[in-house]
Amino acid sequence: MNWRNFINRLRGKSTTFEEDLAEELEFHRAMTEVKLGDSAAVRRAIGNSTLAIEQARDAWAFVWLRDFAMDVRYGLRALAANKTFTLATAGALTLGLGVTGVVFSIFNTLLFAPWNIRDAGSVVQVLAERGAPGRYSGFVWPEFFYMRDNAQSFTGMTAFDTTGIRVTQGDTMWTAMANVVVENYFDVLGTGFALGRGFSPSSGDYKNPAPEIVLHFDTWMTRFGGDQSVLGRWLDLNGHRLQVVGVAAQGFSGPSPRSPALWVPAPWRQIFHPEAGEFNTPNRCCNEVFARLKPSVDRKNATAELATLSARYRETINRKPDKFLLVDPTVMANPRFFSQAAPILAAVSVAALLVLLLACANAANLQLARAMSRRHEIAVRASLGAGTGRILRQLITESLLVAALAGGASLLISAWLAGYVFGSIAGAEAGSLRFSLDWRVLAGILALTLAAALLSDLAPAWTLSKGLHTPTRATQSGRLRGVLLGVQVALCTTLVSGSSLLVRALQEARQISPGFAFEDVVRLDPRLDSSGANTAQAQPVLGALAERISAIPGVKRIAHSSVVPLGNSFNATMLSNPRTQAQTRVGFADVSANFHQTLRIPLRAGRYFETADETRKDIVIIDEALAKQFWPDENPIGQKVGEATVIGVVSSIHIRGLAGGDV
Amino acid sequence: MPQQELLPGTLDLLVLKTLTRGPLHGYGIAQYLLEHSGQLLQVGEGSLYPALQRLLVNGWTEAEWKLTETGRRARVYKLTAAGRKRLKEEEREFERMVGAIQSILKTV
Repeated sequence: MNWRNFINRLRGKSTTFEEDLAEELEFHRAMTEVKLGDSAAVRRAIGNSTLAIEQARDAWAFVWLRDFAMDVRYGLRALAANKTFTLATAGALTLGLGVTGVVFSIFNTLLFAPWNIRDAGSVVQVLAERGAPGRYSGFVWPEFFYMRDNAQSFTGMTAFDTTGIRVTQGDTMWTAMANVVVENYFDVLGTGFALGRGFSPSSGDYKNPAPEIVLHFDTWMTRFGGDQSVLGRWLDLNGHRLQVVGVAAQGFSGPSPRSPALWVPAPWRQIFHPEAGEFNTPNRCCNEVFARLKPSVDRKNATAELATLSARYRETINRKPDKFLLVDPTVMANPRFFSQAAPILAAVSVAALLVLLLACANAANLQLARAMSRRHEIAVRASLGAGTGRILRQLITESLLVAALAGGASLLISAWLAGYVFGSIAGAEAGSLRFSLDWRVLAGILALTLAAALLSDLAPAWTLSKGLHTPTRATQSGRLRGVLLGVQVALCTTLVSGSSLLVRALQEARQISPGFAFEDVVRLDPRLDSSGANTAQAQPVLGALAERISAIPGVKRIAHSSVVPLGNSFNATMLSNPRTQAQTRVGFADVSANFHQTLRIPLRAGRYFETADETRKDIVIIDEALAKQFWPDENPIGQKVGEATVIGVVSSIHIRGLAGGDV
Repeated sequence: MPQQELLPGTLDLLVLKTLTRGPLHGYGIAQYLLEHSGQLLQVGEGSLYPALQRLLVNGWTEAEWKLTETGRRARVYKLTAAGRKRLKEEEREFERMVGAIQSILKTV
């Protein structure tokens, strides 16, 4: 096609095209008639004039475009004529596409949507490979400070860590998740402030950090009612007075999977939690490190610089240097989150694709049934000279129209549902993630829609192309419908049995005995640890508390423990197995007398603790599992565990989860 | 006389060549081809008129409505400069093709 041809086609046929052509042909016919004098002979001589007009027209138009427009018009009429079919097919596909769209949209956000931080494009998360290959974490603090002060690749490098604190505000007390951050945190990542400012440089002072708080926008709204006068107010955090200096811009949670309630300068961490000890040591792992690359530096060079600096730093503490990885500031770019979430995401996407496949099989069956009933119409078109390809194109156009309808609907569904579904699954973790329809979601749903249309069209198209020129092929398409039905049933069974297995597992979990009585036990956490009190200070408080609670009518027994079974906390120590000398990780808890009786943990040998034992540090009660492991053939009573003597053996309970337990 | 199928792709060439003698309407072109081929090439309107439109759309011919000697209106086609160029190309192409076919027919 040359350019003049192209332009002429674009300009289109003249408006009098049809009349001109008809007149021209009429002239031709008349002249031939004059010559031959016999109309039958004329017809033989000059052939099919309708076809001539059609083909003359084709010289002008982009044939496929005109055909497509015609197919669409014809398809819309056909679909409107059979609304039940249209709605049923579109409904089935919408369900499949909607579910897949929601999953896709969630994936998209997790994989690609960066945290809501300033100019996320030039920010990288810096991860260090630690321990085993493929296990990434942040830095130990002193190494971070060394890097920050020496690295040339970045315009800024900042870090944070997470801790729980108790906020006292007049008479009310609430616990908050706080991010303890390096003082340049808001300079590197912040998106501005709704009120006030970020941390002052002196807040990074180790010995004497400035007492400054920056509130999360949501905290300001819910806890302080959006009151402007919050600026400058002093709050009590774990018994220390700090002043609110700013409120972060709305929607800013930092690059953290959980929205913190507030931010405080990093050195406050060890002032809040003196029991946890110094955190700025090479032995305490780890913070989360984010850095903003200089425009002229690529990730490879930055990684190389970090490796060099790490080697230099590690020499001073006599350790091997780390390997580094710079990743995008998104949830899934962090290998730690990825390895946790990947299996779940994989399972969910397989399920969603199964639903889509099911919907396609369903739609295909409907199409097939309809194709049977349209056999007559199609035969007419075929006999009028439409080729197989032309008719197939017509059918495919129709199912594309239905799929487009379903695709549009599922787009709306996933726009609306993705945030909701993710929110209800992940709860607070979803806080800082924003769901939006970007081009990836649009393209993804478009691709899925096309795939679904073609998939649901294969079977009917195949049958029709077979049956087009032979009048009845009912048996064959009957078999095909049987196969499709089989596929549907198989997929349904897979999905139903999968989900019932999940439900069953949940029921099982509820019936597993944790090994202790929980039905009539009430748990109370006085949160003495976050007040900064040490054991000696805490004992009298606990004693007084126990006495007062015992006095409440209906309380039969009271006991306390440093670890609550199934309570998300855990203490462990390494013990040497007396038989094999192997080091074994063993969980332990400091408990009061009465502890085992209160939770009705059955005694297997020896005795329980008594009140007189509470000050003794040389006796332990172990569980059956440990007894079997350490002394399979002997009486464990009287044996030594570390420094202590075993005085009793109780049945095993689940401390950490329902899957296993110790002490 | 049995009618002969044209070699595919040669109709455009023949129409362009016919028009070098001067402007002509569709029927005139068909008659010219019939007469000058010894009554061998009878071109049906089913292929002639699409071909004429094809030449128009490529800008190789121009068309104009004129009155014939019998007083009827007829669309008369005229070769353009681009059409002449095109004719030369097609002639060359055709000769190459015929030469190739002949050389095979003669050697085997």
